Amino acid sequence: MTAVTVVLSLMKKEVLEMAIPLDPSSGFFSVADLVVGDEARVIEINYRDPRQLQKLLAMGVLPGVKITLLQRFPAFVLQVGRKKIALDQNLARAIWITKAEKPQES
Amino acid sequence: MAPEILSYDENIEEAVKKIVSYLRGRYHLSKRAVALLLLQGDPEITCFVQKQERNFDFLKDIIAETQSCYEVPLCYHLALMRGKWAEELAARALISTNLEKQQARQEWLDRLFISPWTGIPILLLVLYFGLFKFVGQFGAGAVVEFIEGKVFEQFINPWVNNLTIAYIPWPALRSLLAEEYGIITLGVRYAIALILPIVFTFFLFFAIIEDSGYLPRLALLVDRILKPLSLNGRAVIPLVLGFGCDTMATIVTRTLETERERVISTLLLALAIPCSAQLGVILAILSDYPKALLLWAFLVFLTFLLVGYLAAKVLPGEEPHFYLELPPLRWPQLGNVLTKTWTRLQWYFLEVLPIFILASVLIWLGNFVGLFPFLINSLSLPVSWLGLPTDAARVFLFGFFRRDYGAAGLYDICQARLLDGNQLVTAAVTLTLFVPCIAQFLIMVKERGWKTALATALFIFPFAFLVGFTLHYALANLGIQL
Repeated sequence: MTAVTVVLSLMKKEVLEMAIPLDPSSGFFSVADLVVGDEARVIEINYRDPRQLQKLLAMGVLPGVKITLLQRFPAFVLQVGRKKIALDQNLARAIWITKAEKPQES
Repeated sequence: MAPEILSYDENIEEAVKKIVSYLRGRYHLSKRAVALLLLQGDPEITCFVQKQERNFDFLKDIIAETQSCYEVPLCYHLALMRGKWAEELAARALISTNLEKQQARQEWLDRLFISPWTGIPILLLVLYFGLFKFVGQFGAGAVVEFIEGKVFEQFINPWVNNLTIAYIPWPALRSLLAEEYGIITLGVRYAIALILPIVFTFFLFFAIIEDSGYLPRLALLVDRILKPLSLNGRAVIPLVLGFGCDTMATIVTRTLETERERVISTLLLALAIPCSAQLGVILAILSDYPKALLLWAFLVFLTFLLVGYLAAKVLPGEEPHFYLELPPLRWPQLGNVLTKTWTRLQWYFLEVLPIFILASVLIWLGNFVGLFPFLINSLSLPVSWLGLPTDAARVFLFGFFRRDYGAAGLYDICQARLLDGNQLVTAAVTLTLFVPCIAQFLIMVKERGWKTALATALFIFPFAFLVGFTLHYALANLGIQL
């Protein structure tokens, strides 16, 4: 299931052109794969696209940061640390995360 | 105690030292800051340094060499280090208290605003009460009527006219300053009596939704609709402002990120967003024909989406990104609201007032050389194609030069019962889509340049008439009588 998700997301053109090679077995997802209410930790962001990188940095989305998905539609709304931010789907796909283990508090 | 200076790793510090040693020019920042910005590829500083330093090529080499030490872009690497350092500092200096109850209440309200099921109705309510009632009926209606009707028409204009008759012997100069197309009687009156109340009430409304933190949430809700038009949620600001005054809105398109977005939103503002002056009159003349009103609204909205979509397809460029920070919701603070409104008003006076004065000079010139009768004649034919009486040509002409007068001229013809429902809706649709007022055209020239502004106008003119003609034809052939 994980492999299918990753392969499918790899088939999307933008990701193909700018992807950092993902190791399917390590279970990498992007924010776009989360369900509302999920907590996750940022593993990596797509630093190959300078425009996306600039925006993600400006909003403090860096590896190691803990995020919670608050909403998916009509825009992605995330809790990043103490901030709330809104993103479109393209930017959401550029943030790779691993799901936090519940109910652990970190 | 001196502030700590973040020191990065060895490679970076080496590079910074080398770059600093090469920098000879004058900078408003410390040389270390300039060096760090260069390493991170900041476009403005890079441009600036390139102009000032003869050794720019050496600097480029240093930057490239440093970059080669890392797999990731330098700006990313530095941001990561800063992030860690900031976290450590915050852990040392900040205490976090848990305001659970307050937060829970805020969360609930926030969720109401941003969830599409509740958020969109709330959005429509905000637009209705804020824009339609407050800006439209109060600002564009009551206040304008007072300032224009009482202050200008009854006191200032006659006073100025009398002064010029008494002291200025040359009729040409008199008509430049006063009378029908004078700088004071038209340009200044327009800017202060007609537009200022609208803009002032709009700025108040805007400052309130901005200070309360609602504005980014509004942008979030409309982002998806704007995506096919190659705009993002942030464009909602100039678009909403356009319902107040399109001229102001065109200036505000500056805040959009890419030039492509700016061009598309300028086009849409000129084409499909009626300013409150127009809105008021169109609503008045179509109020007797509710079906016509719905048809008008529907057609204008459809045009907005369609032309926006086509423009996005035709214009080359990158898709915009949508990203926004959502500040916490709070009660808007009066001091902030007033300050923001005042600042924007000042800006309005500095930027827009001169445009209106220029516009009135141009109108005076046009009148002087007998341009208007000529234009009315040439417009008569297309107007008749819309199934309208040739009188309506005057309406369209004045629609450009004095947008509110254009729509008001239509109102006069309507009062004289010269038009039926079909003709009214055709005229209303065409007038709404028609080229904006001359002030807006001048602003388009200033903001987007002559070529873009002319291309936009040359598209809009025939397109508006085409839509009007199609509507007229469709209504006649389908046997619909509104």
